[in-house]
Amino acid sequence: MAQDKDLTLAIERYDRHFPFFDGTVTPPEGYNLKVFQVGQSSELRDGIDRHGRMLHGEEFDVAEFSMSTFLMAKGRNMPIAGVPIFPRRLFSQSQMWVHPDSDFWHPRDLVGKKVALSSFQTTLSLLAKGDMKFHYEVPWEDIHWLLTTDEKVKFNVKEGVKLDFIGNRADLGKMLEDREIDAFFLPHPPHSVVTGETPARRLFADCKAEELDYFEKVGDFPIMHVVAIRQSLLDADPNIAKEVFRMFNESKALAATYYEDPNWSRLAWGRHYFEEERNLFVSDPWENGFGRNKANLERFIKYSHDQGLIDEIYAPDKLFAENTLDT
Amino acid sequence: MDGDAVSFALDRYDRHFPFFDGTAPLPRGIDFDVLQVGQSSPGRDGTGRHERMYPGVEFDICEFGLSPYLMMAARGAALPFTAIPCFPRRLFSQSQMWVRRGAGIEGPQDLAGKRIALRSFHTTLSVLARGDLKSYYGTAWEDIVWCPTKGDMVAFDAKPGVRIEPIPTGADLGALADAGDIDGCFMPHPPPAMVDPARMRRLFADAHAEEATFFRATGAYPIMHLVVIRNEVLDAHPGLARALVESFRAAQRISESYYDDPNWSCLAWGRHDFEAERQSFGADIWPEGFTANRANVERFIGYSFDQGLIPRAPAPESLFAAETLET
Repeated sequence: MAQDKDLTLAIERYDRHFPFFDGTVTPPEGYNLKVFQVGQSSELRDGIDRHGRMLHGEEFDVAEFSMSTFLMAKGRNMPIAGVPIFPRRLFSQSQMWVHPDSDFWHPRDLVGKKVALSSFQTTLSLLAKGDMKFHYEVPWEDIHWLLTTDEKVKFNVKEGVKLDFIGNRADLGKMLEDREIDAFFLPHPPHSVVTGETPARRLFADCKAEELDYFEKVGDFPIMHVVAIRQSLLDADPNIAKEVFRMFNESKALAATYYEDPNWSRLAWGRHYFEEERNLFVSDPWENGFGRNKANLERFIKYSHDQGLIDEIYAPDKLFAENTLDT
Repeated sequence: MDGDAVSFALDRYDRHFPFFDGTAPLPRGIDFDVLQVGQSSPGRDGTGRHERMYPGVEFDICEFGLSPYLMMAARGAALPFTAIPCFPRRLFSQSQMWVRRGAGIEGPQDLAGKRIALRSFHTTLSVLARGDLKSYYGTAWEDIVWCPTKGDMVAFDAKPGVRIEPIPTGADLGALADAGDIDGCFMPHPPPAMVDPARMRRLFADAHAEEATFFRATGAYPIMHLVVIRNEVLDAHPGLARALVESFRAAQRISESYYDDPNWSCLAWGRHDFEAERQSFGADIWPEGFTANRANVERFIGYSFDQGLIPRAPAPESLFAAETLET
């Protein structure tokens, strides 16, 4: 029997990924699956900077990866492959934070203001800017953007866009407290805000209602991350794309069963929230596959083009291994 | 696995993942074999955890039911294991009380004379639900017909007049409810037929609000499980009991930090739910250690004694390893 090859996989620590960490997911046949718990902006068991390490170092065979950076990489024909698995999703609305004493309650109140982001191309930045313009009819070009992390893929800033690199993402809580910035839109709020050490509130008074309305109108729980495969691996074994697709769906299905136990979660009413969300969404907002997510991808390609991150609009078929397009 | 390793059987909860992914600090100088063993539904390494621990004593360290442990300890016979004040599972009784539609049950007062299915009579959730009915809602549990679906692990003589009418193992509970033979179900893991909204509903339409009020009145998120350690293992490793309390505390802290990520959970509003609970409770609802849980344990001892499960009410101190009483 041939020796199994190693397949390295770098993923974030989520409930839906625990079947990878406790070994309950079925590994791909012929491979010895090695799972790494690697964070993006915060250090996890096996490190940090997952996206950069995948894009520039090809350090992993398979990795959870930034959707926006992936769109840019594919727009530039960089050698990276994908499967239509989307392990992270966020609505933009809950991630918009302002000072508690401010009069900002809607994106329109932020016109002319200073809003901090992670990088300009961070998926949450892409989504928030796009939602502002196309959902709330507030041109993102009217905001002064302050950037705190480096761009993974270089691009030329569109003319007239007001942006400055300020760095120091960890200090954004303090900067908001001191009113040096008016808001921040981040995929992970700063630690001082999470702990309540520095004052901040969400822009919308009722994010849940706002997001539910968005879901009903737009149809998606917006994608943040995709799963990327090393191009040379896919070329050598095209079937790996289907196996990766299967594994992630298996993990997601296993994790959904966790919530059958009314005490799985440390949230005392976790089971109630699970039941409520199931009733509110009706269909599964986490459904993977190309067909169900095509409209979301097309919207993001439009956003990315509008924000000057890709030169041309392209069909989303280009993003994924061919044998996963029928999913 | 290494025959000398200390086996450590835990259920699959978010707060136990630090044990499964190796991020929880474990006592030094000992090899642990962490097993994922379910109780009524299977984990990675099987099911029936409590029965495998007693009478089998299959594991060195094991998550175990508070009620059967109390019954064994209160009988005064020498036990093969000793508890430490770590409490991995907690449930409010209210959310677990399901009643049949059309049974004419609008509130706890309507339960008199009704037939309620249980797991075993002495299952921790059964004891809690009966105790809460009597001491919190003023409905005498003695007026209800109790229908256990499973035998008791620890034998006891039912108090005179108590009506216990077992349901045969494997009986179709849905069919029994449809035939009007059972009117409700109070179980820690209710089977799907017992939470089918076409047939059953929760006794309290707003169980969430009911439990928040209960918590404010009693200060307790009721304990379901504790952790027991085989006495030979305690003797072989002085200080282990105390050190494990610290490991469980660390695991609680780590799992709490999961929720810092607004997308840790597949619940779209999981972070909002987390913030709302933190505000609602105003206290850590998962404290480990003896002091913070003494009153909670003492209330349960009172329930158990009132229900005829223990011949006398022991002091909570007598239940735990001496070296952990100062935690």
